[in-house]
Amino acid sequence: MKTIYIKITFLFSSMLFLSCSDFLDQEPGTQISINEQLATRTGMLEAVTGIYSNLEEVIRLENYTVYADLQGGNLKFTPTPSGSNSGLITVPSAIENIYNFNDLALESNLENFYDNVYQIINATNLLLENLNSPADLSAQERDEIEAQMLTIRAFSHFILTQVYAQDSALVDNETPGIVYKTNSLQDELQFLPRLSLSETYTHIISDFTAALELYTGDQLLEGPSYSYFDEINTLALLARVHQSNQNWEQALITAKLIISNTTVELTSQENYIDSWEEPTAPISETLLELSLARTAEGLLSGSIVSTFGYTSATTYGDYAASQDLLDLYAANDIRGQLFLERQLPVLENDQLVTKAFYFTSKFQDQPGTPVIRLSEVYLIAAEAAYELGETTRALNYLNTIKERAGLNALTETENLEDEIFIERRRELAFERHLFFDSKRTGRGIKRNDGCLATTCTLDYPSNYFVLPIPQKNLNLNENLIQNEGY
Amino acid sequence: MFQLLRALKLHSTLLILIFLNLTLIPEKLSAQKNEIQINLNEPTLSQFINEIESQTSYSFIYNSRKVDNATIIKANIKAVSVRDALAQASAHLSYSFNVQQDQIIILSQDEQTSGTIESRLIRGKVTDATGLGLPGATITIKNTKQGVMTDAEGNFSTNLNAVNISNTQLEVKFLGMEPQTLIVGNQSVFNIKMQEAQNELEQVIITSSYGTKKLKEEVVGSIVTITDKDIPTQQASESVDKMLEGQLAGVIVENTTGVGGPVKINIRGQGSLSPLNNTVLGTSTQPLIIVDGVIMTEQTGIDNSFFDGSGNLVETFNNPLSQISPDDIESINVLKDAAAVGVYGADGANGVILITTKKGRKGSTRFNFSSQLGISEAINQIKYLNGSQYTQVRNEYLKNTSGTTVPQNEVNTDWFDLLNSTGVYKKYNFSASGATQKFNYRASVTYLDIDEPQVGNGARQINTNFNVGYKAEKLSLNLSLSPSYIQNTQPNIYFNYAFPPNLSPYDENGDYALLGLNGFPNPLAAANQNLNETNTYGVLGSFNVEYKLLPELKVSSLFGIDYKDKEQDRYFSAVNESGRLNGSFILDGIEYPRWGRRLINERNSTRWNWQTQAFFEKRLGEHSVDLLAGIELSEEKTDFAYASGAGFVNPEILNPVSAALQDDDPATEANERFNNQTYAIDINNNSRVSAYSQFNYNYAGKYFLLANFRRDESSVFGTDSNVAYNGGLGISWILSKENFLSDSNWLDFLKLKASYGTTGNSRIGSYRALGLYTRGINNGYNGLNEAFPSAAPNPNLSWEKNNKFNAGVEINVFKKLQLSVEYYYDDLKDLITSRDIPTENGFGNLQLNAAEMYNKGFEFSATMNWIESKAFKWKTSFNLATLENKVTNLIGLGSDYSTAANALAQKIGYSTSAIWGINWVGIDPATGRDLVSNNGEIYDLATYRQLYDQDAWEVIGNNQPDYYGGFSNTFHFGFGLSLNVRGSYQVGGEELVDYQLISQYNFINSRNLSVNAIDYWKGPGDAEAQLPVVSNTNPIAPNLSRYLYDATFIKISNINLSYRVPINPQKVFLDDLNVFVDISNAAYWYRDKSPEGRNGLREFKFIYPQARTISLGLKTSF
Repeated sequence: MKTIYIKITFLFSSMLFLSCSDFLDQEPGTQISINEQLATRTGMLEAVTGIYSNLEEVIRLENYTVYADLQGGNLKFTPTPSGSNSGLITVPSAIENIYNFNDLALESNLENFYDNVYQIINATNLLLENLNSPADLSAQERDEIEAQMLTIRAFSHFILTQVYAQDSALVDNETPGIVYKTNSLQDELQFLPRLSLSETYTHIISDFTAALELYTGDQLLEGPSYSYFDEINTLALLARVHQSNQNWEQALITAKLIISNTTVELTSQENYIDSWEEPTAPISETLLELSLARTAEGLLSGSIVSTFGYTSATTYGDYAASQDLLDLYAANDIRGQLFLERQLPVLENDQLVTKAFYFTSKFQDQPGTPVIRLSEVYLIAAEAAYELGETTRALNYLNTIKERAGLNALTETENLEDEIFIERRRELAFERHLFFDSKRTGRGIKRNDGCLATTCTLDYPSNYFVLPIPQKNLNLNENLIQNEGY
Repeated sequence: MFQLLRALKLHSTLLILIFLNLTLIPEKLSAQKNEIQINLNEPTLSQFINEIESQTSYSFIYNSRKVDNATIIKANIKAVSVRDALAQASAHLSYSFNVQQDQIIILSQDEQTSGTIESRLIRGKVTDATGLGLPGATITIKNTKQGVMTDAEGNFSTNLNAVNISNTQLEVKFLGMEPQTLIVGNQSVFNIKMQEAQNELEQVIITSSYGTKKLKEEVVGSIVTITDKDIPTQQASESVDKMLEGQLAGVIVENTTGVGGPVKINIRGQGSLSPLNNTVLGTSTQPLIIVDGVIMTEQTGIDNSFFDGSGNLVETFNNPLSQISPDDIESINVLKDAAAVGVYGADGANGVILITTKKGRKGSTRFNFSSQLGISEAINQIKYLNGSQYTQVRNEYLKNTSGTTVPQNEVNTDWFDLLNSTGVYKKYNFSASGATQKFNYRASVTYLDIDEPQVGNGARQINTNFNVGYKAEKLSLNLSLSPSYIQNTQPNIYFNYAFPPNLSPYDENGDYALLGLNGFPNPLAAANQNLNETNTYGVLGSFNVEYKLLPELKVSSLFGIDYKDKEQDRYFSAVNESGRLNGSFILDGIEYPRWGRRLINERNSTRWNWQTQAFFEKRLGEHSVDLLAGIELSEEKTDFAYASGAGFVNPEILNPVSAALQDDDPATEANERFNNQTYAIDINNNSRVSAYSQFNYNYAGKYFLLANFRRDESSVFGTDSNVAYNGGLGISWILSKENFLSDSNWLDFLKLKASYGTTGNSRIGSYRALGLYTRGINNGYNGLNEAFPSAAPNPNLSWEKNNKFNAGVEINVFKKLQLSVEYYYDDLKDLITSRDIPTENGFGNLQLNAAEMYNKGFEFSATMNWIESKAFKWKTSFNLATLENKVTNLIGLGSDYSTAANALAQKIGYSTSAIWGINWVGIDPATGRDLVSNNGEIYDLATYRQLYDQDAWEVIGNNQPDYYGGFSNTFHFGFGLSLNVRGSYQVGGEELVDYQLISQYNFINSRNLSVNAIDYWKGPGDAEAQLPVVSNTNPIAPNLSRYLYDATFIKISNINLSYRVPINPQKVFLDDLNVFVDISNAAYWYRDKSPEGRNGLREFKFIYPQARTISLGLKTSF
């Protein structure tokens, strides 16, 4: 009888023992739980790769990638290549509202951009929170991941700020910035308010600064070095942030740091056109260009060619350069050669007539998605120096860019501010700057050639220099306030 | 047939050998065992009896008035045989022992010595009303324990010793039978026929939970039971759930798929919110099904596009209950309220169905055989436009869209007729069973062959069931195994697609024609040339060990396993267009079209549960208590695999996936050779640890109290909330046992009961709480592996809770009518719903425990024995249930709507089954366009669509009926004929039918429409039109009230006429022979009548046409 009791006790206790073990830890199949993914070095690096992929995709996608140049007037639309609407020039419905300065909070043309950037931010936060999880990650690698994640987090918030926050330059009170997210979705759903613009910048700059402390100089992942964030391109982006925040002193210091760095040099005049037109590599002065994701067969899954490229008479992007832009290039400006002139049939008065369209040759064949290059840093330095009253220095930086383009050096300082603005428009066309520059410098918009919008001008200031926060988020989060005018 | 049966009889030993391997067990093993070990010092007679009874199978019989079992045997009894022990004892007693078979009768001296004792050898047989021998019936001299028990065949023989034998009264008893008293007279051979006890209530024993058994009157919870004799196994269905439609109060069995497909069972309404869009991956609304202690696995999809159960290329789900033959089921108990299901805790919210398979009954080996053969046909088919009507509607469409028309051709193909013919239903069942004192065994094989009315489709099932039990005084063991093999063949997947009638199925050579319809092949060709076969091997098995530690305390441990291996193999042949995919491939330098597709889906699941429990039972005077406590572990592991290959060199024959090859492109780095093959695998695992307990108390058999409690810990949930505590409390009071009612001559039984408790629903799909990354291999940034966060974590995600209240009355009156009324209120909280969250969190939606709703209603069931005589019996059962559902809260959430085709919404104050849509008011006679109303204003549908979105939808109906239930009528005629009619009904509730067959004109070039389409708007002034102008400009609105029908119906699901052939068992070797005719799905009546010559709900209701089966069969035992 006694043995029976012992056996029973054993039986029960063995079941209890099982219940205490890992019996209840069950992992899913091809999908992996967050904890497991981030528990190893390999998993961590996969997650880092995923973030780069997502970031590239967000920047490349048409609605965002054309936003600044389209709104500012650098772009016009190409005719429909084939089908029953062949030759018709229409506004692509996906950007129709922003183009008309009439975006809707309910269905914003950039709603996906907003959501996807926060997805990236969440992914960086997940990594930052799990840096210590993988045992096989070296301290070096941990620092490098942390630096890159902080940079991506800051940069992501910055591009949101450009789209959603008014500039503080001419608005004196506390302009709303954006929601700054520094932790992943955890136990409690957060209903965060927007920070003020200055707080937003404080956060962005502090993330950048923290990152700069951590960069190791060792490349973390395989691939071209220009396709990853590092100390230099982070500094360059920081200069852009300071410029945007009108902190000219810091902008100049940071820009100077990069210009004085010898690892990257400005592409020379002789190589300028060739370097741009090289089909697989970016221009040599590139500081950061995101690579394209490749499918299992090594095929590119998509690139900005689909937006700006010309492949054949029936396949070309919806956007070509406007005459407004083309007119800015003087005859001796070599940058005027950076266009593919193509004759396309256009429907006019029910007749197909052939007209010339100018596609940019910056992004043909298999371009990556550019983020920043050295010329921009020179122009930031020029603008910052001008704002600080150092006009000679400003002229110096500006003329470096002008002369390389084959233009004469500027000697007068009378319209220097405008000159710098226009030089930026010429040099950085198709690189997502014009509209943000207008907003930043308080210039209105005037779109002439090819403008199909209901309103082709926008005076500064205006509510429509920013887009509405997606209404669904406002509905779900009462702490969130909408931009004025939406 | 009789020769066959005789042959079977002759080979019975062989058959047992095959089925059971049990021939080595001697029938009377126990009776022959005589060796014992006895060493007792001055025991009482009672101790002496107990000792012998415990070591042997002998039982003692004596008249307690004359024999005092407290008498001390003043000796030290040391014996090694029974005979010896009895001799030693009788030497010191004033009693003598009389050994008869396995009974020992104790006789007092005075009985033996008081002179006029007579003795007579009596013998005979005790049988039931049908002549079947009753083993274990007792024949005793009235008011004594002196007597005999019948053997396995029901025979008995004994030496009757009594003072005046002729006047002695014999009492014959058998559980479940009316006791009989008879006077011996001068007979010595007795053939005693017993009648079933009238008051069945007393006899019904219910398996309530975890193997505990209770008399029905003692059950506190709400449990409906159906036993083998009430399960219409002769109904032509492949699984038992389909046979139960309407037979259980408050249980809706919805059968909308074909043979072998899943059946929806809702107990007291739907236990969770209706998912708005993805219906496959929601929380389970199905009850927990437990077969002999084994928790059955439900076939569901997982969060993986290859295995989520949606789309054309994923596996077809099967009904788990097809694994059990209805003929092997002894009883089904449906547990509904908290007192009944509380002990099942986190899985009990949707109710629990306990299925017990048949065990061998005492007696020598008995064989049962039944055979059934029937024919079936598709009923209530949708009527389509015929050739000329089709051309008329099509030309109207062409005229209104492109301006051209086509001439009518001579072809008028009735595709439905070609694709549906007479099906054949065949079923054979053979079983062997029996039991000795300690062993019981039963083996059964059922072979089912259903050739469906849909040409080419069918199912073959072999269901077997083995039960072996051993029961000694302290130890009992039981092994149940149900291996099954199910083959479903479904190549005819286009039988219900509306092919245009102007296409001919055959070309001029008499071969199958190519139809030229994008995506749809010639369906006849596909049915004959394609392969779609699902083979499922399954084993349900449980092993239970029980040991009686003390008379009051039993411990037991049960291990149950449900193993399934399923493979669905499909081949789309290029002989017909289903296998002609777009594109091409190059192999060995030759270009081939990408034709032929092979698809293989595999699912392999193992679910086991192991429970160990203790059961304590004690009676102290008027108080009785029992306590159950146990621990249960369970784990479910499912492996999924998918393989497909498309593009074969020889695509007209069956090719393996691996044959889909192409040349590698030397220009690229990657190897493209296998690019036409796709493979995917995934797993789905979850586990649970639970502890459960149940406490019962009753006082004087009148006042009952039940309490249960359970703790569950599951891997499915977040770490913060993976533990759930559930429990219930119930009370009942049998008023009829109170003095003030016991004298009533009309009231036989009256019981009041109430219960309240909580249950949960943990079957929400695995991993939902974890938060997930999805990985991509070699296709990411710079060609690297990458991973993205793909699902939001919610560590707080927890069980859905279902608080159940139940109150009921059971009443039996006039010995004829049994009534039961119950009221229930299920308060459902923390329902999981997927909701949008602010995207700044990085995810667009999150699974939240955020909704609340209730289900409430009444259940009423009645059984009436109208006439109860030898010549004629008539019994009616009827049940009715009501259900009201309302979403009461969506915490922190707004209303949400599904797509128009689903017509659902989640909105506070409305039923989750409400149908949301647009009120259609008619066709504008002037324009031929749909007119709809909103807030009393009439709009053209196109205008309405511009002005309003889904927020303007109104409730246009509800899937839920106002009340529903079923009925059955049984008529028995004395000469052996019986008739059984069963049915179900629903009153109220609506059904939204698919608009596509009714008014989707823009597909008319490739698809036919329902014949109703002929009532289109003919031109300005046409006020009779039911459908709008035939054009492509009508806005598509699948949730117009035009497509809504009143779903009220009555259905005669089964008519069974059975005749017992009178046979004399002495002359024929058979004990019993029945022949029967059965009609399944006999008739439907709908309140919403189909218009003359048009389709209505009758036709539109079932996507898969229902089959009516008429069958003949026989059933015998020997």
